[in-house]
Amino acid sequence: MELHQLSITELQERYRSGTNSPREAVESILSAINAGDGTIGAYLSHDAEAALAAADNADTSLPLGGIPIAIKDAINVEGQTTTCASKFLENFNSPYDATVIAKLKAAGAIPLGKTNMDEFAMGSSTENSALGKTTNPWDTSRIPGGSSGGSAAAVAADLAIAALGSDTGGSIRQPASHCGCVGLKPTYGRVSRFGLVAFASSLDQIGPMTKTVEDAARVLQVIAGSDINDSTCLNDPVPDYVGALNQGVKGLRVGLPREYFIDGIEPGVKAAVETAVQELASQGAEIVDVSLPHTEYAVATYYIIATAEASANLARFDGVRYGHRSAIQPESIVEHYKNSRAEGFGEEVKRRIILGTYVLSSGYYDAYYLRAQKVRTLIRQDFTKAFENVDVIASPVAPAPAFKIGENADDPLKVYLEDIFTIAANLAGICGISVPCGFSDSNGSRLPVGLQLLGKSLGESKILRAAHTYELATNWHLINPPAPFHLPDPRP
Amino acid sequence: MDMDVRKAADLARIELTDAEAKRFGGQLGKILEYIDKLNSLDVSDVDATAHANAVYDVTRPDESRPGFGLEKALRNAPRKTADQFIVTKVVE
Repeated sequence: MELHQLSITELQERYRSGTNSPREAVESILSAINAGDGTIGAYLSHDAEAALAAADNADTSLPLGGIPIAIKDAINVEGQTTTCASKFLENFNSPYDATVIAKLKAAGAIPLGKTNMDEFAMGSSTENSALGKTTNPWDTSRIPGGSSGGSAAAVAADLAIAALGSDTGGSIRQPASHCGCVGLKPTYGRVSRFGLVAFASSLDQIGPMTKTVEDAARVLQVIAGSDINDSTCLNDPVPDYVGALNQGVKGLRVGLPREYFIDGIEPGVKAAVETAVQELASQGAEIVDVSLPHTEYAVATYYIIATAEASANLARFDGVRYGHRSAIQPESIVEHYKNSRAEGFGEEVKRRIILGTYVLSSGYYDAYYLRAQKVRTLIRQDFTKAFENVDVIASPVAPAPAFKIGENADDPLKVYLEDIFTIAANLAGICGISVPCGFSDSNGSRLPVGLQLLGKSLGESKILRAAHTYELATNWHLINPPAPFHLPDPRP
Repeated sequence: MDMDVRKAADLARIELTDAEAKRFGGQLGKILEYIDKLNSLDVSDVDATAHANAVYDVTRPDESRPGFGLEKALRNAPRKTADQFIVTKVVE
């Protein structure tokens, strides 16, 4: 095994036994990036010198001491570029650390580079990046998912030990599912968003993308908790996530929402998820039917609320204090704004800002935005009711595995509908994890499938525990993408 | 479903080409048609949710904290002179 192929836990064992050093781990990742990232395109930038210097100073006694971590390029790392994969911010150099980065650094981790994404996190395929193309390590003619596609591809192709993503409607869980890694969206408010470029402020959450469930727990342990710079952050104490992993699932009640097992799910996905649920049952979990009756309204609700909030958040990009300013000499300040924004934003971003502006505009606010907020209440109540009866809800992450690059380029609505199983968790503010649960054969490609486990608000310990128990009982997470990204795996 | 794309784009301060206006009009029309399914629900007695886990009246001690300083504040300015942003002229 090369060092870049290891999990956080495995790498820490190497450090603690003195077998390897953080410098060797960073060097291993840098050489993997040099060899493989030309094809994968996971990173938009990385700072080799800074990472090596940090490795030489790393304190391996800290919780994430000497562990290199890839960061979605929507999160500020001081001194590095934060582009959000947009031309508007192509040259933006972060003057400060996001709270999650400050916490990672305090825990000894090394932010190694910035990963590709859909522009301003708007998309489900990373095809909306204005700055680069990312491919799926399992089949490079396919998308890695999105919007945290670069982080997922980096972890899956072993170009990173672990990564951070952000999830507004599934942007951590769906790419994790498509690339075959673990992705955790924490409860709304569990992790500070200070320093995350805002997309939809009532939905955004930062979370870990990792090779194992245990690693996800380790990263969450470090980044969770309140923050005086984010007033939406919850004050609740951070429990011992890692310590709770080994409690098993005996007696745990796992709900299957009938609205999530519908016609139209690709047969390979359905089979993999059903087999995974049986595995949980054989580990001692009790499987129960539940209903989330407003599921079919989630996508429509989301695309009103998320675009409305985005239109307000992205109003800050005015080309005055930072970001792109049009070279056209403006006749007025409005022209300055309009030209700078027209040149700096890509198609999907413009489309969503326009839709969001429309649903908030005079005469349409009540009909669209207010109504969507009310339906959001109904969707939340569905989950509250379901969680009275179960501990965890199991479902597919996405109705189908990764599609071909370019396949859905002209049909935004079709891409939006792919988010049907992930979006409701953001609207309800609950937590969810995607864990590899098998493969689906699609036109000759063997593509990863993820099992989604949803937990109630602040229920991270339970979903991590269920996912960890499942992972220990299966070996999906040990199967690597095909060469050239991997040497043959010596493990069984 | 018709939507005045140009008006919304003006409000959002985004200049559109004719081709963009036409394309977005068609695509957003389809999306609005889809969104219309929310009208089949009776929400007259339902409260709105703005934040899923709302917290209220969050304060921190009213103490001064260090700011960016000139270098960091001006680092990303698209146009600047020695220690100032250069902005587009606004005369009302």
